[in-house]
Amino acid sequence: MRAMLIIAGRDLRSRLRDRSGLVAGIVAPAALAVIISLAFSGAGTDPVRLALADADDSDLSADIAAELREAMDDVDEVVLVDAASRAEASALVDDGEVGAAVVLPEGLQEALEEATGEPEEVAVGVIGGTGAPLSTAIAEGLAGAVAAQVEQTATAVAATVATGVQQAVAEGAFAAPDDADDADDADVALDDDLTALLLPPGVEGFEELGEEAAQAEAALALEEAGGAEDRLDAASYFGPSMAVLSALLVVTTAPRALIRERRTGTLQRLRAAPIPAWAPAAGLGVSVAVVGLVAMLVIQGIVAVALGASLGDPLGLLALSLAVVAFAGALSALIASLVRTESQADGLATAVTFSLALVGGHFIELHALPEGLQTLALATPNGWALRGYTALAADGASVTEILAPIGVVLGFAVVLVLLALPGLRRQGA
Amino acid sequence: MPAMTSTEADTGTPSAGPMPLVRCEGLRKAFGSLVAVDDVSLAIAPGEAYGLLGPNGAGKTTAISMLCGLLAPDAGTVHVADEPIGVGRATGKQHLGLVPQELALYGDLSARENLVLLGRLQGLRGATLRRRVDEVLEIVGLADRAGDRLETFSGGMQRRPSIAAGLLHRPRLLVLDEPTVGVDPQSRNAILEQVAALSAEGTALLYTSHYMEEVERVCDRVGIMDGGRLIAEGTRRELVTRIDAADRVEVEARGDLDALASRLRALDAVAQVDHSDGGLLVLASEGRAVLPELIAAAQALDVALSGVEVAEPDLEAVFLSLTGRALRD
Repeated sequence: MRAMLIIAGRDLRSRLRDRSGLVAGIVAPAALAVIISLAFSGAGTDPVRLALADADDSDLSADIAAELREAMDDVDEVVLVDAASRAEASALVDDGEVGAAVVLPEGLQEALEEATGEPEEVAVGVIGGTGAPLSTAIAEGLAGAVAAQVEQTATAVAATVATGVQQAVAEGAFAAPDDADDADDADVALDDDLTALLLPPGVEGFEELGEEAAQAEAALALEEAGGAEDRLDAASYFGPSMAVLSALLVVTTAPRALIRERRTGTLQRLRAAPIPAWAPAAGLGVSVAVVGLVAMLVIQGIVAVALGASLGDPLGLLALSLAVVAFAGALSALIASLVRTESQADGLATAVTFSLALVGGHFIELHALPEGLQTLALATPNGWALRGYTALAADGASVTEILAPIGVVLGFAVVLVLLALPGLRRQGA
Repeated sequence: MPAMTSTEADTGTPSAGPMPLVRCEGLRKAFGSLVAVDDVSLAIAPGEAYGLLGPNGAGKTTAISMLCGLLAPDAGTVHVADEPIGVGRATGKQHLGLVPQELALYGDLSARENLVLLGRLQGLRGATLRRRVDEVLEIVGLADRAGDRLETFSGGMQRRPSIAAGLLHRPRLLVLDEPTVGVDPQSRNAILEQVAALSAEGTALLYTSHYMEEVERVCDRVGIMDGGRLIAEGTRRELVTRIDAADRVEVEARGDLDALASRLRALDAVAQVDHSDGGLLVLASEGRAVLPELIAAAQALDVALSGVEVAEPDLEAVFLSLTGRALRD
């Protein structure tokens, strides 16, 4: 143990003297964390400006427009600008005053009152701006929501009318279609034409209409989607993300250091001393583990202080970070068992680290990844680590509540060490 | 230890005398189909300087790696001071000091920092360690550059802290693996002087080299390795005698050379006398032993001697005789 610590101390001293190592291991990832956090937080970015044109100029369209404005009032990132007409909205888009426009079409209320509206007849218009994909996408989303609302409203209206008709039929005011010829007191016979007039397209009967109406939703609203990550600010996500990446980058320099010691003969010199055979390699491992852990804590500290990131329970943070460092050390051992030269060590370490980072959600938040990649992230220990950090920050989890991610990360470490041992023994490391 | 002379008496191998400090028995190591060391056995007495001579690729470094517990042998054992030496064993290694062929020190650390690090690994601490570091820096002549980083040292200068590192813990056996490779002649000479001084102080040495003259200068006994095998072993005199080569005594003289030649041929130690350009060429089993009688005979015959040179057969000749190849082919 003493020999291992002496060797670790020597390596730490060398790393501190080699400032390039500090830059690569701590400064660069910290800077990356800050930059990415700022980029994804939207801080300092202008809100999306959309034009809203009411071409129908009806009570219905006015109500819909009012609902949209009310909904957008709660969304800081979107500003609605009123336009008197489709033409004015189009002009605003062309001039760059707005990114895109939503147009409530002429004939909207009439189509609804007739309750026979084909979808294309009540199409809510979108005018997209060139080079404004985000604005256009938001406008399309709003338009889709409006169209859905209109359809539901039409369904609800028709259902209300139909319910009334059914009631009337029951009370004898109307005659059912099949009974029309037998109606005596009926004022109106429900013939096929009248039935078709009352039922919206695609609806076969009054019972089905009733069922659709019952499912009609209420007011237009923007729903927040996604899980905990959506509620986590960028700094709180990317701080730990870059910290994990930093640990991987730092700790996987150990194989290179071991091979260099073998090449220069210092490993032989050390092993000629009366120390355990494992002490030199273990000492290198302890050194990079310390640097890796310090790097992780420094980066997370920087994003917490400078960007106000909320990282959660300190004990949980430390425990999870230690597990990450242990995994990184195990990965280093496996790399060391497979390579023969320093360049091989560098190449393999870099390839593995960045592959894990891409799959594990270090550069794109996990929830934003395609579903397949989200599943694949579960196959990476760093993906599990990020889930643990997210739980700490977003859900306020305690250390006991993240034992699963910690356990998975440590489990990966154990497996990698077992895979590395035969190769390391063969090399005499 | 004085330079070897051909008049040195052969008293038999050290293994027949006091308990050897180092015993290697039946060492063998193969790397795939290449047998690097094949059944090598040797013994080194306390205080003895043992040279392991052989061309590049003979197996010297592999042999001493096993001796130092850095490489596990496929067969055979190593004991130093009666303690078994092996890979993964810490015991016994305190008796060994290694000066490897590479510099094998940390260039970003100073000479003192390197020695303190290695001294701590040898179990030295505190004031004892500091004092010993100062001592060995003095021994190798680096006291005034102790604080300089090794990467600022010249190639020859870098050998000195390497030797110092091997001496830190006062080992009973200092193992030097080709310590003068790549070193300028002046530094080489300094290294050899230091090594000879250590031997004179009683430190046992195992010195490997492919330079015959270094081994002859430093070592009491020599083992010759070739193709992984120890093909000959003994003092220089024993090895030379083995190949039955004679010393050459070149005599430059004027006068009655025929008479002088006749007188010399009558001596038991003289095998052959030939006339040469300006003198005589005498082949003798011990050239230096013939000198007094040569001088007396020249004086009696009134022959004027202007020059006498004795050239003894060397290990190069021994190697050539045993293997059919030169030592540095």
